Amino acid sequence: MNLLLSHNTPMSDDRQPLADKDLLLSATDLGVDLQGKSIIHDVDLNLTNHDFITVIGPNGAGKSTLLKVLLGIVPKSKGHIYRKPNLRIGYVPQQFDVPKTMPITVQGFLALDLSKKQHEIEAILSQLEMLEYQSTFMHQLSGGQRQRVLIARALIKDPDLLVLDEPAQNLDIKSQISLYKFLSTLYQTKKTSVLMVSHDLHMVMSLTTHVMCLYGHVCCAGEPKLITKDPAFTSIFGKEFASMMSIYQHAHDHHHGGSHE
Amino acid sequence: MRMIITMVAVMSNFIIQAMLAGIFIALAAGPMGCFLVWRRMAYFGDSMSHSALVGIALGISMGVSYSLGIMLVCILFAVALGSLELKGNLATDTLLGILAHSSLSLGLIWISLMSHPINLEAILFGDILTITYHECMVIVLGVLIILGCIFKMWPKLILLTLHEDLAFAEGVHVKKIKWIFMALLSMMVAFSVQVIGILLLMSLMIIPAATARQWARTPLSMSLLAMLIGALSVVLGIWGSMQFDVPSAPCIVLCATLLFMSSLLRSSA
Repeated sequence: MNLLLSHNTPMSDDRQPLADKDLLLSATDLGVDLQGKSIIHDVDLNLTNHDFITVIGPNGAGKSTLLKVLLGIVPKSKGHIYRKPNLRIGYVPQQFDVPKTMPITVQGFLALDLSKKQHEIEAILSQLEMLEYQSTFMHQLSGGQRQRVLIARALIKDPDLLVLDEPAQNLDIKSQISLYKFLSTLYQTKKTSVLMVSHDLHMVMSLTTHVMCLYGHVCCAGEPKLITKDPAFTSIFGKEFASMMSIYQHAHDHHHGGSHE
Repeated sequence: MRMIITMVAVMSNFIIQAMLAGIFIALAAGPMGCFLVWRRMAYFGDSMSHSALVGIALGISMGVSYSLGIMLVCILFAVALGSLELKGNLATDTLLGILAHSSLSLGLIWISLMSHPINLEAILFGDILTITYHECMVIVLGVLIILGCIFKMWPKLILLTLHEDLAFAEGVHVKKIKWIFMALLSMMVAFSVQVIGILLLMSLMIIPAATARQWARTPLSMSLLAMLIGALSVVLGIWGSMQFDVPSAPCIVLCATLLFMSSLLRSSA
């Protein structure tokens, strides 16, 4: 129970970088220290319109902290953050436990503090195949269902950028696939930009336009197919894994005809 | 004959005032209690109300109203807890245990050192039948302010209760709203001392909320139901205390408990 003093006021962007109207979010030289300990440092990131960036990295690498500092939830200790003015961000946090002491239905949660009409909520829910659960209490949902409700809440504001923190954790393989399929469709049809933290590397490789490998600092970043060949990637995830990923990548390319480099 | 009528009029006046003050406190306790239940802050509320004793001593020493002293000390209590939490290596309930009982002890000693006598029992367990017209009006006004603020912030408070980071990302001023809530809670403590006393206050906040949970299907209906159940407990409790000539605050609490037990017969999702 962290009752107090855990939040900053919503921050204002402190620097306008060189005008780039496609730039949605960028960070330069970003660092976060918490209780005297450096969590992330020297992070640079540019997210432009219709990007799909996935942040990968081992446990404790500062992935969630990176998302939180970009959203202003965690104060930055160093560097600059730029957010496009009036950028609409939908956030899907990592953990979401509704106390069973609070009786709130899916419908009630989605209507909370948003002036959305019933049919708009229903439209989003049916997109996520959750329409039949709209009168179910939040605390009675399974992990995967709750995840989808969170995504519905993030999407309901029609965001320019969707920020997801390990959306597939605790999901069985079938739900993972359907989740990633949904994200992929969303990215391709609605042109929503995505910034995601994920552990599911093979999913990452097939969905993402950019991968950023974080371990306190940015070890390597770039297109998925190039990153597996990066020595920094190999040193963090191990040789076996890197080569396994390249094999997967190869098979994936082959499947799609694979000459779009 | 005329004297008897006057006596009855005075009698019923102070009962009406007691009822009114009690009912209004219960109305504010409803939604506030729900938030304490949802946020698992029952022990926090209890500890904060223990610190009210220091507030009373402070208020008397400074020559201001004791309500002001209580509000000041309760806010200080929240600040102290917040900064101790940031230190980070002790759990919140441990810190609360330290703060609650050290402030209770400090208050007891401070009050014992005062030159003019203070009725400790009235502070600890309330003294609802001695409430004056003026005090009653202050309580009514205070409760209206508390309820106004709570319902104005309602959706943001619910969102923040569910997930602070999500609320923040959606543009809710999390820190500001949390402090407003703390201020309202300290007001609540200050106004309830005379009605129910600092040791029993939390039960008037927690028990009706817990009772309402058995029936409610939305956060709002749970709050409204808690208000109703609290008010009913106050009416029954004051009636019972006069009927059987027993102290009123414990009587109110036991009435709330009886309602809670009957709610257990029905169990909703």
